[in-house]
Amino acid sequence: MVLWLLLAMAASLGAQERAVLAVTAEGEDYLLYAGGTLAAMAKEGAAVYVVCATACSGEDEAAAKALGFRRMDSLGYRRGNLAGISPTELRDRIVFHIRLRKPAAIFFPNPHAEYDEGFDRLHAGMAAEEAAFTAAQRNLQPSHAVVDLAPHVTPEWYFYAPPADPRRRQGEAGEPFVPQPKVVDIAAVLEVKVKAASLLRTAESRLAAELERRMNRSLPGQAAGRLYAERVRGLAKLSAAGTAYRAAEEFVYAGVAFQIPAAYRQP
Amino acid sequence: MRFRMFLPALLAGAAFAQLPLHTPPPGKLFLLIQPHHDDHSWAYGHAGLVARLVESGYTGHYVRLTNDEKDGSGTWAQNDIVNHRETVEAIRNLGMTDVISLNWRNDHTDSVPHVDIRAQIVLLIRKMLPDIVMSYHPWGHYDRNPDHRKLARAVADAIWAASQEDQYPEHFALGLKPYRVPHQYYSQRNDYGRGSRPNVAVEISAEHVAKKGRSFWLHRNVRLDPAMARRVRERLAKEGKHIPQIEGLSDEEAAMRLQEASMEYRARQVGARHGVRYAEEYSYRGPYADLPEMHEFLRGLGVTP
Ligand SMILES: [Zn+2]
Repeated sequence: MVLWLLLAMAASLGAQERAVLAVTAEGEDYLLYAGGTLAAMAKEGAAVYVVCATACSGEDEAAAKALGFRRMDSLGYRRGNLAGISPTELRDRIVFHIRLRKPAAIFFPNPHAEYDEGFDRLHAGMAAEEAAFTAAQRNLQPSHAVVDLAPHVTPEWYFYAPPADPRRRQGEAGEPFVPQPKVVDIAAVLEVKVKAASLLRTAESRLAAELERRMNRSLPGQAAGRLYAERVRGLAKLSAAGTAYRAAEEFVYAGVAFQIPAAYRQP
Repeated sequence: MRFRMFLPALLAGAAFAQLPLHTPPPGKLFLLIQPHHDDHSWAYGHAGLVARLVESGYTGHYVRLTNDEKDGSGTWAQNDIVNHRETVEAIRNLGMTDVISLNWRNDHTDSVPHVDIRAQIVLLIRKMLPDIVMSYHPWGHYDRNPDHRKLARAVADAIWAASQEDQYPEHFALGLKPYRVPHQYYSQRNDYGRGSRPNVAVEISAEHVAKKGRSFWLHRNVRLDPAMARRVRERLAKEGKHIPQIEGLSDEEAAMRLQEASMEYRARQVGARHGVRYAEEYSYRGPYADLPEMHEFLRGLGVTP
């Protein structure tokens, strides 16, 4: 079993093209919280695929294209309703994408993050975390074997979330290989991210209406049209706080070593 | 009235930070949404804050998820009726107006779809437009009660969904609109570990504390424990001690006074941590808590996030 696992990992690491899979609840989530890191990976030659649990739009696809990504696929569930669907179906559809793309790294919403009001993110994140694990299990979804979708071990996991929890960087207790906080410098791709986020016109006008309701007044002239640019810059700054970076994204990260059972990590 | 004895080791060993003293915002209406009849009156919340809000002019409704038929020594039917009657009395003691029951079964909400509970709460929020919503902590840890976990998450999700134009659009036929609850106060039982990590302390007065103590035992069916008072007195008598304040009282009355004293002690302990006489601790989320990255931008518009 372990030998097989290591071989599978070696195979995915040595694959000709490095594929990266980003799971997102809706078109803006992965972009806001992980878009810069993914854009940098695409710049270095990775084929980035996005799986959108709800129905992503043409705008979302245009934004993904602007970030240099290969493709965006929608699972088509209704926005705001991921809590009301079969978690197993959602998981297994993500397993399908993992086995199809054979990613070296997977990005998904952190279902363990606190103070995230996006419950679609919670459910997409739970399904994706389970999928990243179960995609490697030979006995799960045996019908996949019929269409030559082999089990796949994804060596690197990036959990992303809105930086809302003041204690998010404290990490979890435990041995060194449990998932740990990781901050990524995105200064080189910040403007690409800003530009891509600015293509999300529908989400941006929804946020503008939402802010106007909350403030009980109108946004000044140009402000409504640059809300997503402001969001991206604000996120980059928040995540860079306390680091040497000017612009950053932050994750909980589980790398290659995380996949190796503890017993085989002893000297 | 103060008692030095009578403290379970609830607070022992935990390290507590001093939190900023928080002034609740002015407003008209709050919803306290809880799983059970008695969840408004625990030592950790929300009775003191409720009394303070009512005193400052708020109207408050108590929304109860379940019928509490399992809680108490009676049959299901008896508990249902008695607990409802007692919670009406207890919430009125704090100044809230009424109890809105959502009619789910006690300790069985794990099997109720999250979206079913959320939908009910969204409608209440959009109709009542509360300035404040209070509940259990949606991201709290170590709450062993399934109804607490279920309800808290449904509340947080309902706050999001109520604000969205594409969620439950059928409500708009009634003239309702998307509405964002500006202020949220969450509490969590903290009797084993890091159940909750509050970020503010709210000062409460001696009068609020007294109301809190009374609302606690007004849930007589599940809380008032004359046998406890009898045991305390018997144990003290063996050591040659007694409590003058409960001398000559019936066991039932003694239990009321002891429970009030316990609540007073807890509020005083929390107050001492934060430099005031009495306090409660909350996880508070303000009007723009979900958009931390926009705070600087909002300040630029003259909005305090
Ligand atoms: Zn309860």
